[in-house]
Amino acid sequence: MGVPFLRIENISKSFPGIHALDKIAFTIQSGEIHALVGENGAGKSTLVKVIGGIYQPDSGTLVLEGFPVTFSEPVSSQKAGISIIHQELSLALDLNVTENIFLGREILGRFNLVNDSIMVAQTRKILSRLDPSIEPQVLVRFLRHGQRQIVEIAKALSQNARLLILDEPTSSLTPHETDNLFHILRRLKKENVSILYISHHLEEIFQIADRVSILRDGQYIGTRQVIEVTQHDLIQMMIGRTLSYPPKEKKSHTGEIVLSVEQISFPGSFENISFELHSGEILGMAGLLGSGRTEVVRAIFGAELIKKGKIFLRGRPIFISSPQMAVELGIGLVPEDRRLQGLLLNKTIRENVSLAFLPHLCSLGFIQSNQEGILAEKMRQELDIRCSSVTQSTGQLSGGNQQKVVIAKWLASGSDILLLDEPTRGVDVGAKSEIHHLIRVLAEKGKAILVVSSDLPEILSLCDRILVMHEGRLVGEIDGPTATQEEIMRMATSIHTSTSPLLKKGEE
Amino acid sequence: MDMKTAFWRSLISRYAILCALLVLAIIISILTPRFLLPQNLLNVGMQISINAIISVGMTCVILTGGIDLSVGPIAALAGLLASMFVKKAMFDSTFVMTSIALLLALGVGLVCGLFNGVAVSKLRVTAFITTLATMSIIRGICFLLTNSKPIFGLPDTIAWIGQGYVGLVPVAVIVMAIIIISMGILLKKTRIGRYVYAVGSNEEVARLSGINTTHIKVFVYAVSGALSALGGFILMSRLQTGQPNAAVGYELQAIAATVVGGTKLSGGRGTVVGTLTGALIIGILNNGMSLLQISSYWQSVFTGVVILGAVAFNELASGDES
Repeated sequence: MGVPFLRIENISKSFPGIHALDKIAFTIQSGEIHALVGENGAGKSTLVKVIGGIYQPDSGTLVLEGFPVTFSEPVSSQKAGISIIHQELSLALDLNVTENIFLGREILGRFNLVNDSIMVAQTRKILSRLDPSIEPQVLVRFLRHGQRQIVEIAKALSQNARLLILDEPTSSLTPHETDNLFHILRRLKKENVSILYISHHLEEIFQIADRVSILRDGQYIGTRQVIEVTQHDLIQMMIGRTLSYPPKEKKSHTGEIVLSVEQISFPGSFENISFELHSGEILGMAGLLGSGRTEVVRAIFGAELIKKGKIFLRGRPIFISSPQMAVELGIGLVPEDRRLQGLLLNKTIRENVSLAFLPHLCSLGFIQSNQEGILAEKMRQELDIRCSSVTQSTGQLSGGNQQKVVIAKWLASGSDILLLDEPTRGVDVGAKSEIHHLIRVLAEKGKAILVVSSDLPEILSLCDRILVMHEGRLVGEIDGPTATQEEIMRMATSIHTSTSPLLKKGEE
Repeated sequence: MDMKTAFWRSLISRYAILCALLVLAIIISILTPRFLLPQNLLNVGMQISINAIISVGMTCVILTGGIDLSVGPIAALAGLLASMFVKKAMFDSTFVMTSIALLLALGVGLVCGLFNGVAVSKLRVTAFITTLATMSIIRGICFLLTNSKPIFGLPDTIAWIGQGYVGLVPVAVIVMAIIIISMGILLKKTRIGRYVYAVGSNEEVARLSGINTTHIKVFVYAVSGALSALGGFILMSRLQTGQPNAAVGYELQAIAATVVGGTKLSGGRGTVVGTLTGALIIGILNNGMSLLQISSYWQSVFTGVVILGAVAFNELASGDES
């Protein structure tokens, strides 16, 4: 091979307290599909951000086609022909495909007016290489997730991208869409485009990649030809000696049924969901993004009203008509997005912790300030929330500590059913294990806990039982201690249940 | 940032607008010593009292992330109905008469505010549009009720709240003080006050924490309506006339006092004391310029400049993440 497209030379990057990347070095050839693997927190996304010009490395260089480059900002990396396609796509939903592709780079015609016809024609030309079925003038809002992803790729190609970085591209795709994506990637490879492919799904790497590089705890472990290694080899290189999750021991004691839902439905989101939740139990709910998990949890909490079905609390039928009612019944929700749904970011830890319990902290409508302080302090100690004091505003805390504050809100209010939606998303490794420990302790104390998570190792290590959702339906229940990732993934992407026409994939 | 800088920064950010008020007062008192005469200061208090009372209601609404454009017409309608009642009333006891007129005014304001609140929270029309509509509706009703003629010839007894004094202090100033203190306590010390801030900080978070956000929104518009009515009653009492076109432009003055006082239009942050300070800044500026015999056209220009400057200064001084 000639000069590699990109050579990563001893890149290091640290953040306060963490060595995120330590002397990473490997090369990406032109026209190569290069996989990058590693556990959560291994440094994959930090490396991608360095290549994309979002972070500056502390030391080391990037060598592009033989010339050292520095990307001081995302634009300079883009100009050099590098495009990143993130897991969460960055398209404007209310612009059409063409407008998205040319956003910020509109082609102007006479009188400096935007020349739509030329842009539409160019868009059509690019899409003909990728997926001719996508119409250039359709609003992105009406495309499925897989199609939106192709639009992102088209956008990158229209900027003459020569290295595409795909971060977990298949996490919300159906098997069919995944096949289509792989087909496109192989074609791009023939056109000499390089691809850096980041994925948790090792079997995909064997399907698509030429070489694979492995990171572990910010260290570079090695690069291998895919044909020369097995999945087992990769896992060992990723994990090293230590297993990151303690093996799950079989639990004997779960108490009475606290919550049971029978055939609940919300057209367009989920249908005929039934399950039971015991006290002292950690029940997992797995499934792809958009499979309806979040909607089920929100419905139980009264944030969305179910159209059909029944909910029983300790055997008593109830209709939960609002979050207020759910809270009064002792249900707490740690929502999917803590910054938008879980925390008052400009308010103090103390005000956030007491928020759901305030009615009980008041006398004649006046807040008993010292009681509130005692409560917040108690929660800070119990959950080990790291802060200068409970009067610090929650916007200043790290992700892990913010999440602890959200959990503390429900512990403070004495909820005994906890619905945790992605409890450790965007949380660093240390805080994650603390939160896992906390969840186990709460279950031992008799709380009934429902955990929704896309993080399969998390589900496997925490849960006593696992429910799997697919396209708004419950497609399986697995016993926690014996479950495997493969089994869950197979169910979560199952094709045989897609007789249900109720759902289009992806968020609305 | 070292501790000392941090300390000064926090001090400045908390008291920035108070400092601005002091600086303004000092400059004006240097330019015209008459400013500091007790009589003039009480005059300033009298002049700002109506705006301050309405602004406190506006502050509650803006704290939830809303806005109330209908405060002027509500004030006018409340004043009108009270004056029509007084004119027709047959009661001899002035105290009873005034009280009933006042309760009538407050009731009307409350109903208008409740309507705003229900429309905003239930119909999901934005606050701006809802209150723009009620602003037009209520003003129209004012003209329809009176056939666009003012109501003259009210008894002197109605003038006490607007024109009277207790000792040296105007009654209107006392009313203003009571409103500010009680609303300040309500916002800072009670559960409902805490919820007002929570809804304005992030309505979804508040809802998912079990707070009935609908109730809170209806509450703030009701408060705004009632306080606008109180302001309108004092205005009617001061003019001893019920006018269908009273209180025109009051919504802008109230919004100005609120934002100059440091309340964020996006909600969640601000205080009643800040709003009082904002009203004082605008009031003192106008008073000072009148004393200096600056033309009212220039006064309008300067007021605008000061509003812009004060809010920009506030943003700079508070220097926070948002």
